[in-house]
Amino acid sequence: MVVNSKNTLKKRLARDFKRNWQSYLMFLPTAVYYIIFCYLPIYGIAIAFLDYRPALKVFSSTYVGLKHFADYFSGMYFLRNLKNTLVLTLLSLLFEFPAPIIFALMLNELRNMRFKKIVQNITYLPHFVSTVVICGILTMFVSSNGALNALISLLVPNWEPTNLLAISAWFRPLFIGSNIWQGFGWGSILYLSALSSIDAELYEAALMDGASRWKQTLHITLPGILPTISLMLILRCGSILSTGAEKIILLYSPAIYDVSDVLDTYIFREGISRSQYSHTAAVGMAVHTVGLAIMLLTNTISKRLSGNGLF
Amino acid sequence: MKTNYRKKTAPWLRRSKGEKAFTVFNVLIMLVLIAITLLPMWHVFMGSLSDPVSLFLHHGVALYPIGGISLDMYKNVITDNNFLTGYGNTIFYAVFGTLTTLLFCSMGAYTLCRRRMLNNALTTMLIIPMFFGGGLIPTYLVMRMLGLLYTRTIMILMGSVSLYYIIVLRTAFSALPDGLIESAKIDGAGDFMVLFRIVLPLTKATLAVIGLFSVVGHWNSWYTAYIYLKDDSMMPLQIFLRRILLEKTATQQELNNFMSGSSFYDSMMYVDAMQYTFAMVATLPILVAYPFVQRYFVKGVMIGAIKG
Repeated sequence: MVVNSKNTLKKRLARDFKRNWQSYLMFLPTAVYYIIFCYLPIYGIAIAFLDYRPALKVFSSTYVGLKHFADYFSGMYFLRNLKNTLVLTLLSLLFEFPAPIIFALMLNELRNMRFKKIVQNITYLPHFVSTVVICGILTMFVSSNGALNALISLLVPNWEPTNLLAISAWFRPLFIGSNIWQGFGWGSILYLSALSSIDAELYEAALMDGASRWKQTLHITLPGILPTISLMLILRCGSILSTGAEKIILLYSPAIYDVSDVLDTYIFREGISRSQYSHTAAVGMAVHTVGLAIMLLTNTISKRLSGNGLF
Repeated sequence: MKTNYRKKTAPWLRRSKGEKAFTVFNVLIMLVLIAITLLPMWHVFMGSLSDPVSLFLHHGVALYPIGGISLDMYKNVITDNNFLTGYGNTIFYAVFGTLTTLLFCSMGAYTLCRRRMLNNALTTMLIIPMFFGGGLIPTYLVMRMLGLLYTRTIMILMGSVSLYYIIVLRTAFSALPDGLIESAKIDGAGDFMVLFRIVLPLTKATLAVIGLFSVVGHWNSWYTAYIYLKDDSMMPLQIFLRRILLEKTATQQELNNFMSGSSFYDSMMYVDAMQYTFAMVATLPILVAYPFVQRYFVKGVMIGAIKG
């Protein structure tokens, strides 16, 4: 089919639309969904600069500029929330992020395929258990008459059984630990698929040159999955300020707010439970903007260093 | 024979002592990981089967039903009103939410697959929200403005369209031969006819993968309901489960329903068994289905990983 060069894009579109209106119509639900659930909320960020009260219409609220941002940054919760968020996301980057990679490398060294399949099937399972149940099991395990206290009292004499989730020092290890428990198996799938795409000839050549298994891992396997690793790392960096509130809400209590109250839980508590809409919209906007900026930054750095980037 | 074969292998193919030691170590670690993964779940399973009072007096992990097998708690739980309400609601949301997801996403993917002209503009529209969103509060207010707050509709619509699913489906659609669709169109079939009569029946496997992901997502979700619902009659199972597993006062109330007539102290002894049983019954459908469908899940992740 020869396209007449005189036809502008507009005309071509109009003709295409006339002929194929049905297939354009099919995009309508997706478009409406994205407008309602993604673009209207982005537009709604405007209330961060207004003094929005639930009873008023959005546009009759007064414009207050950066007041809500200033309020929060100078308030007593900002430093606590920021510190807790950063500690949790950095700990997660340090321990949770490498776990599936190491696991995938170790799985890759297994020579018995049936055993490998069994290990995979079992370790993927926790991914499908709901967060509520995971947190429920965790709570029971660390309660004063739970299994963990029983274990510790075997190892430590004079141990006083207590509910560990009520003690600040235990929150972070328990949170990160349970995340690893739930995610290390499932997270390894991505890396395993990257591993399987490495050219087998490379290993044969290395074998001929007398490279040991360890050397092969170091010089063939790791570089082979590096693009996948850096991709996941960039995505992870984009959420350096968002721990998500879902799991923390299930686990925390006012007794341990000093270590567990993060930006996301603050937004939830103040926003949804106490209706401080404008104030928390401002906090949310700050989180999103910083997250985006950090992701762009890591993307640039990764591109410079290794040539791998998201875009 | 075996030793003979060993002797004949070239020296560079022989595994060194260190490598052999590593293999043993590696297998051991894997066994430990299996134990760590299964133990908590096994503990809950055995706890739910145990005799409630013996379980209360038992400290540490339950490796076997403590004090003999007792199914009383199961009987209590599956006739519990809250439990039945939650189970019904969750099934409702999972079924209709998944149907909506499949319908919307396959239609959107079809457009992206067939109408190349606007492809870039449309794809950009779907990608931007991946990087920047309005956040919880503006979304909440939009839902309130549109009258979706505290309705069942929001449980079905929230998260029903996802870029990930659309990409996976578009990949599957593009793999079909072009001639198939063209010839149907020449015969006078409209795009809706082509999608529902030709394309979807040929991509059943992909639809099944997405359907499974969506069902599990709905089954396990509690946060959407926690934010956007108010009425107990609409709450999904996970919300009730949260109250029973994680809120002391609600647990006590629930226990009083079960153990009407017994003293406070007596009913306290039933807490653990009740919690384990609730957790078990809520997770059972997934545990039962998992062995049969897990390879589809893995396949789904792989497709997404290659494309994304």
